[in-house]
Amino acid sequence: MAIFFQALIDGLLTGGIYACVAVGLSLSFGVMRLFNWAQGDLLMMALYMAIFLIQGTGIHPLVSILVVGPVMFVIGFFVQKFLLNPLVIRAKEREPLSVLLTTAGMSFVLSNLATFLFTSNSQSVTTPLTGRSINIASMFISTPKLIAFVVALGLTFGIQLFLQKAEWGRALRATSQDREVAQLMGMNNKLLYCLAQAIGFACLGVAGGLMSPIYAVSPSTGATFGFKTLTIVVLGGKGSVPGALLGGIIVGLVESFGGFLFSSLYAQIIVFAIFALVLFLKPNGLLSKDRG
Amino acid sequence: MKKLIATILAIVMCLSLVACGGPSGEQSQEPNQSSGQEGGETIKIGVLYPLSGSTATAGNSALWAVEWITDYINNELGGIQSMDGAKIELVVGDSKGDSQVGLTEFERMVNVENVSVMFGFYNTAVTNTLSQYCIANQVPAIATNAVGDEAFSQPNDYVFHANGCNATNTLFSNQRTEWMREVIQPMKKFAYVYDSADYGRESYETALANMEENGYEEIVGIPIEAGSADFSSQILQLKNDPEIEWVQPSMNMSDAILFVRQMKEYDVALPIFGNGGGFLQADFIEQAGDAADYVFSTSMWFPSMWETAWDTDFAQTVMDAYYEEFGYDFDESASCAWLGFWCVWDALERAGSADREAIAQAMAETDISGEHYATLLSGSKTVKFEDREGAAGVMVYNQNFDTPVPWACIRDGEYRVVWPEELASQEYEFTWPIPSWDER
Repeated sequence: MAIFFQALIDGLLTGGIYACVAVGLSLSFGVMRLFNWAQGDLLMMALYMAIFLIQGTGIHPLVSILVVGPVMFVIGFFVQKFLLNPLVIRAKEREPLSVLLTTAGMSFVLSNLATFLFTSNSQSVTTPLTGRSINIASMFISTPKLIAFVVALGLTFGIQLFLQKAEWGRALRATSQDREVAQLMGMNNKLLYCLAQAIGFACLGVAGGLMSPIYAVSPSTGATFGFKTLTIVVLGGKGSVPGALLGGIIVGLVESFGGFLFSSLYAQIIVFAIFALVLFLKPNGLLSKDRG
Repeated sequence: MKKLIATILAIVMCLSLVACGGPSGEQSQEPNQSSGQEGGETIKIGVLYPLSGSTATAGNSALWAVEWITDYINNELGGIQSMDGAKIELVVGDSKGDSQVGLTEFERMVNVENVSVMFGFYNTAVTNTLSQYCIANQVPAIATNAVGDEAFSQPNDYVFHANGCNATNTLFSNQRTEWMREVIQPMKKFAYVYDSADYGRESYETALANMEENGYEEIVGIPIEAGSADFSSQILQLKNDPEIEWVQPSMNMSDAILFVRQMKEYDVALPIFGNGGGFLQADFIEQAGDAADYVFSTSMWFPSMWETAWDTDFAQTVMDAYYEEFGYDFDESASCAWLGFWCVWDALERAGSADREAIAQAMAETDISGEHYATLLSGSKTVKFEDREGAAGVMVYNQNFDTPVPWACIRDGEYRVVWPEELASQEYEFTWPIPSWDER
C-alpha cells in the first residue's frame, strides 16, 4: 500500500511540474488561439537563465524565479509585439498557420543558438533543494517537486482569479471569445495579446527556476518537454488554465503508475492512448468550454 | 512584392542547381582515384561524430582529439611521409546520433567528397548502419566507442574497431564482472536500467545472455526513454524489491544526473555500477554534485591513467590543451579517438597510398606496441585487429584486445581507479560496502 501512495505522490508532483510548463501555453492559446511550438525551447531558455543565475550568484532557486520570471515576461511581451502580433493581426483565420510556423522556426533558432552559445553539454547546478526529500511514514516526498507542485497550484489559481476578477483578465477573456467584437468595444487587442504571451513566458520563467534543482539542461531539453506540453494542453482543454493542471496531473500519474507497473515505454503508450480517447470523446479537451 | 519574392526564389533555385552540379560531376569519378592525391597534396578522411544531440558532448570531445592529431601530423610530422608529405584534410560530419542522418553524411563523404577513410561513428546505432555501408562500398573505416556487437558481427576486410581496453559488449560483459564477482558476494540479483536505444538495449540483452556464465540468478530489466523527465517509478521498482543487490544503469549524461539525484532523494543507497555512457563523461561528477559520490563506472580511460603514458610530458601537453578547450580532463571519447586516429595515420604511412584497398589492407595488418603515438593516451598498450568469440558464442571481427576494462569509484569529485591493481589509484583506499546516503 505504501508503494501505491508513493507512486501516487510521485505522479502528482511530476504532474505539477508539467502543469507549471503547460499553464502559460494554455493561457496564450486561450486568448490568441495559437499554439506556441517553441514552448519546450523557451523552457530550455528559462532553465539556462535560472541555472546560470544560480551558478553565478549562488542565490536560492526560489529567488531565481523572481528574476527569471520577470525577464521572461519582458521577452514574451516583445516577442509578441514585434514577431507574432503582425502575423496574428494580419491573419484572417482564427488559428493562423503562419504563427505556428513562426514559432516552429523560433524553436529551431533557440535550440541551435543554445548549442552555439553553451555547446551541447548538459548544464546543471546543485542547490540547497537538490536531492532533498521529506520522509513521511516511509514515503519520500521530493522537496523541489513538492514546491513546484504547490507553485503550480498557486499559478493556476492565480491566473484563473486574474481572468475572472481583474479588469485586464476579463478583457483577455473577452478577446479570447471574439476578438473583433472585443476590439469594437474599445479593447486594445494587440496589447492584450502581448500581455497574454508575456504571462505565458513568465510562467515558463517560474517553471525554469523551480526545475533548476532537479534537471540538467541542454539544447535538447526542449524536445523532452515540448511535445508533452502540447499533449497536456490539448488533453486538459485548449485554453483552459485548470485544464492544463488537470492534464499535467493525469500525465504525471499515468507515467508514475504505468512506469512502476509496466515500464516507462508502456506508460507513454498509455498516455497517448488516453490522449487519443479524449480527443475522440471530447475533441476540445477535458475542461474546455469551447464548442469548436 | 510577390514578383520580388518569386524572382528571389528563382535565383535561389538556380544557384542551388549550380551548386548541385559540382558534386554530381564528382560522383561519376571512381572514389579511390579522386580521394586524396599522392605526391604531397591532401588525403581526405571522413570524420563522423554526433556533434549535436544527446551524445554531442562525447562527439565534440572526440573531434577535438582528431583535429589536434591532424594538426600535429600536418605541421609537426610534416604530413604523411610515405606519400611525400601529403596533408590530411578532414571532412567533418554531424550524425546527430541518428543512423539516417549518419548515412546521409556518409554518402556525402564517400560519394561527393571521395574520402579515402571513414572514422568515428561513436553511437552503436550509427555504427550498425554505417559498418554495413562501409563493407558494401569497400570503404576502410575505423570505428571508435560503439560497443554494440552487431556492427562487428560480419567477417570483413574494411571495418576495424579501435577501442582501448574493451572492444564490444560480448567481450567485456564477462571481463567487467570479473572484479564485481570479487567484491559483491553473493552476487545474485541486480537491476539493469537501460535506455531503450540500441546501446542500452544490447548491453542489457548481452547481460541476460551471459547471466548463467556470470553467476547471476536474476536480472531485472528496467527500460527507460532517453531524455526522461522523471525516474521515480523506476527507482520505486528498485526500492520495492529488497533482493536487488545493485543497479547497473546505462544512460546518457543528463539522464544519469537525474537518476543519481533521484536515488538520493528517495534514499535508495544501492551501489550504482554505471555502464559507461553518461556516468563517465567528464563533467558528470561536477554536475551531479554529491549525488555522484560512490558511483562506480567503467571506462576505457580515466584521467589518472595519463601517469602510465610512455611520455608523460607529451601526454601532459595534450591533456593541458584539452583542459583549456573544455575546462575538464581528457575523457574516454577523446582517448578512443586518440587511439583510433593514430591507427589511421599508422595505416596511411604503411599503405603509402590514398587507395582504399591499400589502406584497408594496411589496417588489417596493424600491429602497434611500445612507444607509439596511439598508445600514449589510451589504456591500450598494443593494437592489433583480430577476430574473437565472445560470451554466449557471439563472434566479433576486427577488434582490438588488450587490458581489462578498469573500474573507478567517484570520491571527492574524482574518478579513483579501483581495478585492475596495476592501474589503481594509489591515493584511494577502496571502501565496501558503500555507506548509506546519510553516512556519506
